[in-house]
Amino acid sequence: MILSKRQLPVLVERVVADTKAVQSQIAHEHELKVRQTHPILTCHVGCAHCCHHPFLIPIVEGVLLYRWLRAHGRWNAGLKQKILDTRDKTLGLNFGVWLLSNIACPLLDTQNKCMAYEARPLHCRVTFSSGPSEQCHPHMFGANLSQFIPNAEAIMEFNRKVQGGLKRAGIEGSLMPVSEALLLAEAIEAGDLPIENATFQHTKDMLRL
Amino acid sequence: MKTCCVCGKNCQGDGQTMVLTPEEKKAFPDPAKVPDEVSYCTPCLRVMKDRASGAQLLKGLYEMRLRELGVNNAAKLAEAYHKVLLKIPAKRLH
Repeated sequence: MILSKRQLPVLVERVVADTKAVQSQIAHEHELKVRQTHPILTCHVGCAHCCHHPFLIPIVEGVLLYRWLRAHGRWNAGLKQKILDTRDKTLGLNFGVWLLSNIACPLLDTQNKCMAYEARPLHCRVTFSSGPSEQCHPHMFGANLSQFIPNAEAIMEFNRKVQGGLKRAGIEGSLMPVSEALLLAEAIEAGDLPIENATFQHTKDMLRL
Repeated sequence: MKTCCVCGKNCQGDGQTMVLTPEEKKAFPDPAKVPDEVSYCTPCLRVMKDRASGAQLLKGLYEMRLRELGVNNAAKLAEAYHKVLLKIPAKRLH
């Protein structure tokens, strides 16, 4: 049986396509810069400390991630339950408390590998460490941040471009945790939720220090 | 005003307030600073109610405090504390 692919409004589909291109470009440029300034990076497969760090993504990245998981047969009841559990646990949770609670990304598998690595959000693509990997553990955070290679500029540039694209399509986009973005993306793709209604109200509480 | 004892958020009309038992009050090091009750906002309460994340949060807070105090083997001590927490029956973790 061939299922017809649901399309979002043309302007929104364009923002989705642009987001994918901008994500690749910014990540590539950032990595080039990082490799020039830091010849030795300590990130390696199986180390997933940064997969326990909280961060927010635009809804469009959620749509890209959801589509990739669906296309690769990885979106199933088990994964959805894991995403729901993570969403329920982290909804409105202050970032400092999230970090100390060591809550893993729902896309992290039992071998400490990302099950959507090829489609991972920009934040994950631009996070690099040049120090001992154990220092990236959430409970070490704050003790020594010097091993983290600054990435705020790349993330802000990306968010600015994505939010700008959404605005041109008449949508006020908000940032949200990966679990929330994936659940909203599923509803958007199913036609149950217009993308302009995919908003997130808890950002202020979560970022309050 | 009720303030969450974990994140410091104003949790009036939200979350849960727990009255401390005399036994729990005894555990405080400074008798002058013993509260009658403690409040949790809804998001922090959800974390505390979950055995894995609740124990991780307490371990993280403990480890962070030890580091602030300059304790060299903070990670090792925190790991031992975490093991103890996981052995405590679930009801004691709220």
